[in-house]
Amino acid sequence: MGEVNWLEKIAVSDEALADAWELVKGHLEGVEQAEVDPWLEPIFYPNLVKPPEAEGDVRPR
Amino acid sequence: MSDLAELTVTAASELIARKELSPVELVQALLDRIERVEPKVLAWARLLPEAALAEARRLEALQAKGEFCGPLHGVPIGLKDIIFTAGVETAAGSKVLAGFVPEYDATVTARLKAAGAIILGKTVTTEFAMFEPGPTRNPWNPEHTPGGSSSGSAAAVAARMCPAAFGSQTAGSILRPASYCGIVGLKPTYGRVSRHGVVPVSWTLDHVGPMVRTVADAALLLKVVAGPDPNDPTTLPVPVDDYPAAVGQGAAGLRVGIPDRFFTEAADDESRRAYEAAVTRLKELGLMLRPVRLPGVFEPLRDAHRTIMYAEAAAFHKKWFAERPDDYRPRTRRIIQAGMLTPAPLYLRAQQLRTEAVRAMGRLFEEVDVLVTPTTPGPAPRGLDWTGDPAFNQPFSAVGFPAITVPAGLSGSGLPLGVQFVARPFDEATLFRVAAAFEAAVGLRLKPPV
Repeated sequence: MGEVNWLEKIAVSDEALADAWELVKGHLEGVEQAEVDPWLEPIFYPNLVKPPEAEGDVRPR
Repeated sequence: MSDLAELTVTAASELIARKELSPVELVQALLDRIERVEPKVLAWARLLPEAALAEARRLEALQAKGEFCGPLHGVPIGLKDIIFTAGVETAAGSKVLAGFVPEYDATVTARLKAAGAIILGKTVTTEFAMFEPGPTRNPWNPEHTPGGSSSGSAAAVAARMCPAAFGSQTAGSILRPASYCGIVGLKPTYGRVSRHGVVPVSWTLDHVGPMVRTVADAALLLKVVAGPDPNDPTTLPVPVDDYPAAVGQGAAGLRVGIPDRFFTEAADDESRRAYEAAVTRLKELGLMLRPVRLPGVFEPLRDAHRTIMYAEAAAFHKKWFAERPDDYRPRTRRIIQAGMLTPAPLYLRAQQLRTEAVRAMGRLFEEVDVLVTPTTPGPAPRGLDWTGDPAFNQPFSAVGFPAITVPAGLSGSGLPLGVQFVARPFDEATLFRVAAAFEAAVGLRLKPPV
């Protein structure tokens, strides 16, 4: 299987890639480190989010 | 009749309905104003004078017969140049979409036209409604940014070039420029107003809303454009309230939450003083003020918002960016590339965080009816190279709760400051009650020296 370097398709230069990474890495670290219940299903549209009591408890007993 | 450019949407609509004002007269007065003022403000991406006058003549003929299309009959409006207008270029402030002419109107455009509004032109947006500014200056001081990304809409309304314009908000792009320019800006509940036919930044964060000079005008325009749209499945079949009626209902007894952190620590002295004066005013109006503890998820919500925004923007732009990266300006390129570097599990984790934040804020709104905060950390910054800080608006874009900014005063350097009210989802009626009561109590009619 050939090697696919997908980064070449999205970066105009190594410097640009490094710069983009600088922009986003702090946010990704923040997301990574935040407390998140792994059982919480992400709801992509905020107006569809219901309170927990409306959805029931999905944790295994 | 005194200066027609000073008319609000509500006043113009009433005069037209009573046949005391011709749509042609109003459009011509605004075009005359634009000719004088626009060279100093640069709010318009493209003006449509011939089309606007032709439409005004058509509406004037109907007016003469006593026939009216709707509550905006003959009222000229601007549209941010990411909002599709059939047959009219919609370039999104970009080289990539330069020359693009949509074949259909955005739902917002269609509903405004159906109500009788006249599209005066397309207002300047930052590139793809992100962070590369257009040429627009703040009408209060041309050395200061008007904010963004709805730069032209805010500046055009503030400078009396039109009584209303529409903008969009993904982070702070309606409320921040509205506050910087001394006008009212409304970000409705996510899904209250259709995004069909609007160039996206981030599908799950984008909102479309009016930028006007009074809370009553915001209510009127929301009533026209709100409601489910089969072309935008994220719009919900929630009834559209009689928002204009809410404006006069008063707000005594409503519960107002004062956040325990996040806002006042980051606000500069002037923004904080304007906010504290606003809080005092709300108390005098008989609202019940109480401190509220923002949920713990409020802080990581900023990181979640940016993660979602960059990844979704990257997904939208991927094909164009691969073909013509040099046609993007540096900050936009950086955001797209940053989104491309976002691992899918972290994007999904950000969506989990956002979901938790929506739930937590919903619990908060069991204790209060609205929150009040400063709209921005300070007045419009000096310089035209960036559009300011959306930090105070971004959390409410993330959770999709409705928010409005109302002018609260001027800084020592003569730049506007605003106060932000936030309500629970689909409760814009309560938002308008509080905002209108505050607006009436403060009694400000800010007009820039342009």
